[in-house]
Amino acid sequence: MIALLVALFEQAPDWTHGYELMKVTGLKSGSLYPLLLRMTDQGLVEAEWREPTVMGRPPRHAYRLTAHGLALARGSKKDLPLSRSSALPA
Amino acid sequence: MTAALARMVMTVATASLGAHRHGWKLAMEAELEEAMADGQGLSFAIGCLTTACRELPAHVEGRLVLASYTLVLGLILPAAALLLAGVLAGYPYLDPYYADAMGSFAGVEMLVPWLNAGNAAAMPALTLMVLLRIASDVLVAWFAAERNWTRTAAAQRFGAATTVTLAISASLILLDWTCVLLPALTLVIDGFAITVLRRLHRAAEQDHSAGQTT
Repeated sequence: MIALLVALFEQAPDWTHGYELMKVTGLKSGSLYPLLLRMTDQGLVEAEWREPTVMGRPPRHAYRLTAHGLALARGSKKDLPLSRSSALPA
Repeated sequence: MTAALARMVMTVATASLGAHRHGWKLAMEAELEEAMADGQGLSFAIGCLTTACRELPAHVEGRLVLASYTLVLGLILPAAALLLAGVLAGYPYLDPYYADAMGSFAGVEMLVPWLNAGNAAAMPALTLMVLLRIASDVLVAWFAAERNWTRTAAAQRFGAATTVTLAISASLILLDWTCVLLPALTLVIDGFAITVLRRLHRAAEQDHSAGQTT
């Protein structure tokens, strides 16, 4: 979960797709999706649908940390860089 | 081939997720296309199937599915397999285990063989009854897994009828009705399993109508 939190924190406030998160964190889909489900249920992650970039493909789910998730991510790893903090959502 | 297999695995995975995870089903299916473009479709789909299996106990429908298949595969079908193994080993024509004890008690060296020239002609009929009994168990398992309780009850009634017929026939032909103990035991096992499943199904329906999904 820490790896996922860090990956989402580093992408914040941008949205990230599930498959990209897999590549960044090294987690398999069988580990990633249970974490995303739990974190979304707990209000740490929010999801929205994004139009596909490639014609003929279905819309994709994109994820980012909520304010609560950002606070948890900062608390989990105190030495996370804060250079993007001004652009982070409230 | 791998793409078709990946899509098949994903279909099973999304079918196993509850209705409350409809959005996640669509999300996983959309990401599968990306994974397949990257050549990782099958491993991605298998991971999603793992996720769906882990989610099964978290919702009422999933718990019902788990209970159904546990009882069907863990109780009903093994009971039928036990009967079939017995048929292959010579049941119901084997000497009962207590034959020697009976002989000692009666003071005779050898009991009259259970199967003799007088009743050998009934072998196929008795075997057919046991096979019909096994078939009724398989049908009970199939209809219970589909939650078709009307047909399950009909299959159980058929199984009970064959067990009673076997008991009567064995009493007349073999002069020993104890060979019906095993079919009767499987009938009790079926009845117990189906009763538990119907209660769970009723509870799940009540939870669903009350608006609870987990």
